[in-house]
Amino acid sequence: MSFTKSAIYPANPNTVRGQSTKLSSSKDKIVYANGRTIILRDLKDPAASYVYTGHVHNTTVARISPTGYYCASADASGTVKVWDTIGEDKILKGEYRVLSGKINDLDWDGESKRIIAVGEGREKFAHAFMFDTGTSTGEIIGHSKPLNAVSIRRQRPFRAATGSDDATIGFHHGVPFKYASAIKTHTKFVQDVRFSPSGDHLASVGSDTKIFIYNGASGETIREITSDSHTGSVTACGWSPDSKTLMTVSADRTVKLWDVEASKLVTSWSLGTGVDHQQVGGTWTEGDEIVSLSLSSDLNIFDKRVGDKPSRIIRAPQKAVTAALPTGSGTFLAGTASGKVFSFSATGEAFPISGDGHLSLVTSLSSSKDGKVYSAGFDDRLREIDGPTFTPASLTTKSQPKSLAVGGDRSVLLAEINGLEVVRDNQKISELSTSFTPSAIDVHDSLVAVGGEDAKVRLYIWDGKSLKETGLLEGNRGPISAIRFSPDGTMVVSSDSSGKVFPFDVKEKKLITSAWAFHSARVNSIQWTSDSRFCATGSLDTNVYVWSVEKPTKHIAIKNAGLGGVNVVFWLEDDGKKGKLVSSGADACVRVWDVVFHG
Amino acid sequence: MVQYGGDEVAALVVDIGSSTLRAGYAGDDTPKAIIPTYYGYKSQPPDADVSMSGIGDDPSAHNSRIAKMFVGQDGPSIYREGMEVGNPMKEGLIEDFNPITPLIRHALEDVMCIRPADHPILVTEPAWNTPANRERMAEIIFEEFNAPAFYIANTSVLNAFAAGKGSALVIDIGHSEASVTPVIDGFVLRKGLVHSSLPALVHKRAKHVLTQPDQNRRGINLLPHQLVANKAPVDPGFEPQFNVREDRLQGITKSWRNWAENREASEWIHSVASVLDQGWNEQAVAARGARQYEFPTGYNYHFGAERFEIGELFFAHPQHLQAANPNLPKSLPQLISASVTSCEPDIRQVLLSNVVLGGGGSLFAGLADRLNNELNRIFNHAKIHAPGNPAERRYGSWLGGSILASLGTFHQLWISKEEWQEHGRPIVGQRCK
Amino acid sequence: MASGVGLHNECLTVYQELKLGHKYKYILYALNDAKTEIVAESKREVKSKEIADLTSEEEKYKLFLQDLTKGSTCRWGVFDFEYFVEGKRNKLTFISWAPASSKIKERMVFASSKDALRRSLVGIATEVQGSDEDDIAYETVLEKVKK
Repeated sequence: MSFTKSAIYPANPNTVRGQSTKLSSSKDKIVYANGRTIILRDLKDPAASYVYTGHVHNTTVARISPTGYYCASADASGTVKVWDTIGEDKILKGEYRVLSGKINDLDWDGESKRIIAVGEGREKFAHAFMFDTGTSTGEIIGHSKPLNAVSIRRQRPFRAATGSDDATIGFHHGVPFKYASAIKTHTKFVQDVRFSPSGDHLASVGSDTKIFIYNGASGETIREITSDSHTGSVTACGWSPDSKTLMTVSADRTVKLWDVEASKLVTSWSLGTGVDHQQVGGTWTEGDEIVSLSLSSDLNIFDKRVGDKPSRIIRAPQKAVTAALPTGSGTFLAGTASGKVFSFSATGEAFPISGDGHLSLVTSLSSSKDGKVYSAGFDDRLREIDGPTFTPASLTTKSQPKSLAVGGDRSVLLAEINGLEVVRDNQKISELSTSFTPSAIDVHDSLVAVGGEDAKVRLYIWDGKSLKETGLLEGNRGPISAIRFSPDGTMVVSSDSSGKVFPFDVKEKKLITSAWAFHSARVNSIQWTSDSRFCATGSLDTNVYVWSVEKPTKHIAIKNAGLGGVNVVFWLEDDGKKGKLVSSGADACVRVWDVVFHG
Repeated sequence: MVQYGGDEVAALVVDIGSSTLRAGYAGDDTPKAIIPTYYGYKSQPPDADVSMSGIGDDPSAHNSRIAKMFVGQDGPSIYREGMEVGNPMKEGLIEDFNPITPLIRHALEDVMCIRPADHPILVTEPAWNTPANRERMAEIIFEEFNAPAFYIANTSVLNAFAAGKGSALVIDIGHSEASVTPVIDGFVLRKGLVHSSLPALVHKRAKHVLTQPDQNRRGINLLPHQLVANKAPVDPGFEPQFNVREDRLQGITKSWRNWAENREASEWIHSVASVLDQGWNEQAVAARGARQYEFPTGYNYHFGAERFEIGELFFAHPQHLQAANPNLPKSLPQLISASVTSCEPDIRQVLLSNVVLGGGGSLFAGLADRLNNELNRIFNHAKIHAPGNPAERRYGSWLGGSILASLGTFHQLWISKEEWQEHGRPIVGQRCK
Repeated sequence: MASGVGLHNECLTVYQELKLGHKYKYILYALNDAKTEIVAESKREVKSKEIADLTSEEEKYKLFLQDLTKGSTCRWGVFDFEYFVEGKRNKLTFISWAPASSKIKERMVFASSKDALRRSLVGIATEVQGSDEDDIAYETVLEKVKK
């Protein structure tokens, strides 16, 4: 049995209200941070995207060197990692702890040799160093508050500009970097500074809504762009590849393009009216695509010739994926920790299910035989999804639902912390108080298996009106974390918080094998292939295993399948010889694996 | 977007304490409005309509109980039948925001006669304020008062800066709370921040001591003047001769009575209480002598030892009191030790060499001298900066806020109304650091 | 919290000359008259007659103190402090001076503006604040510097 990576559908960037998020780009890739990962999303070929998982702390920003060979990424602990972008293994070139606080931005010099990282720190707010040795190359002085942005002029004479919360821009001569002057044009936080690709100009934008242009070599202020100015904080700016046009994005929900020479507005895109449409980041790629980031985490791609709306919008989960459900023909749904549910196409494009959804983490997604989808969340609600929207149907569960399963008669069976509840057509039709705390549930025809925190699995018959206990399966070593019947109904697998995966024979109520025992932490998800021969499991230990019923000692181990833990696994398709397995979890990225089964 | 940068309109500074709320113009030397934080209120009778004068918008249980509020100089101190007395503060923090809006409104609109919507408002907060409280205050100033700009400043840091120090150990003794805050480079060191309701204990103890008989006198009746119809002069220590206002006796509430009697005890403290400069010593007590004090009933007495016993509570708790209450609030030396030992060794000396004393309660007779002696006994080298000017001591944080908010360069640091609307609550924590 | 007061450009350029070029023995900073900016009020070159004539570090430091504590103005000073511990060493020392005789308004603006100056000067090894002569005496600072 073997597997290969098939595709990765990356998460969208982290966003925080009132702060800017740095987006950078190199050729056709946009680069950004999410959780503890750095994502290189290829705009032309999504399959060529890459997710870097080397950071231990929350990541903040990353930029690829001008040569394209290396990526420098930074995190909230003040660490910069420089790694090879070309090879398969993304070999780490250097790791440096440069500041004692969060790094907000970094930039490469034109020779791809030096990096300046800026942010928060006790002793200083910035560090300039050689990318391969970490030795410092000058000093950035002159600021009294944290730095939000840094840009290094690509051409000689080298210059660096640093934008700060103290409302000033530091202009430094290099190398080695030395303070030259402070630019005091802004009256509030400076959010972004960028030298144009030609080096002729420097642009700065800030929370005071202003945009300034300076001479790139001297730092002298040329002018403020005042006509048609933004009406809210300007959070980012970027230059066109030909250095003639400047893009700015703002909390006023617009993205604007400016002709720098004429100091005039060229285009203005308005993204919407809600808080979610505030623009918090942006970049102009070398491939001439204009990308902006909304607070909602939508990545908006603009064609500069089309003035009324983005040419496309890339949406994807931003927070951990906590529930999933295949919906046929290669499509699937993914529920997340924020309450949003995304529908993925067979090619990995996602859009959020519209309507009032869940207010907090989605715990479970399941469907009835006729295709209706049900979702449960920590907001104690049971909802229904019809196509691309949530229906108005909403039932408040008796207590917090951990999991749900849908029976043949469209009854929705809920495992809640205080017991079991059965709902049909948005009406509660039965409930059962249990002596144990239910933690997982699955159903096959009228047979229901409920796993509890007491490590036992209880079997019930559901007759349409009530649940009658018919059996007990013991053997698990910790609270049951997932339960799944095989499609042919002869087996039921229960996994627990210790990592054990136990398949039981339903009729005999006996353990079939104890060889499915390679996970080292809570197993969150179990899913059978349609022929009931193979079973995939995903765990908090970040691994995915594919087990065989016929040859219990043979298995596939997909290690490090998801930074922070795998929460869901499911088969998109399988034909007995091979299959497409999907996993997702804490890092909000969806990974697709091509699996080849043994004969 | 309109920046707040007006030079013409003066900013306002509001400093809310447990006893009084101070408000005034930035740039002034003293607050123009000093109103009691205590307020009178009448509960809603079961089926009467609610009269909404001066009540905040929060639909809480308390609010539904309040039918009418009485604030300011004509608030709790005026007799009204059935009027209760409340205080929104608890342990130095605002616990109930409902009365806050009417209190601020009274100070600004009624006492200072201004329209809040015309002025940026700087509010102070104690060092242990919660982010939720801070944001709620911003919400009140922007949404209920429609102010064009807002800032919230930490009282300990204001006190340190007013003494010219970026790093200091700020000891703030208020009406009900005493706090010790280490400030390093303008930032509060949270782990060294300690506070206790020591002043409240002192007041409570004073009331207890006065109302209990001792070997030389009877228990004293703390009847407030609002309930005294007339009184005749009597010799010290003799039974008072007065007539109660029977017509009012029925109408007073328990909370009002409590408040009024506490006030009488406070008056007594301000007039005659003191603390010895070297620790308890019978001869020193005798040497300092007794002071005469007269109560609204006409009862008067020469108070000797008890006026020093009360002050001593700031520095040491007597055995019997400790035995009765295991959870006594920490004394000043205990607070200071707790604070200093929680800080890293290398900054302790900086803090002790830069002690800043402030708060109305620090004006307690003899307290500053005794504190200096105690600190230099326990620690190597301690230096206290205690402004001699009583206004500077009492209104130190208001004054610091007044100076800051009047600076031209400070204008760019206000949170404007537009920014509040754009960013919401998170902006308060981001900008007011 | 800050006062919003900014730095005059010269504040940093002279600091850089002291730090990288050892051109100055000390620099004195103060608020300008309008209290809108911090300026480099005065500086003393290493090669100046006043410094060159003095032989001990203590004497040079006392000259610095004279300039720092003139009048009842609040000032900041950066002093390139030389001392001997297994060889000759030097530490850049930052001193905040707020005399008790200064007015509360000046002290308030001074203290709330300090960070604007202090954080911009990267490379300061020792910091001292004082309101009395003994807080900033040579012996006191020497002990701090040696730590």
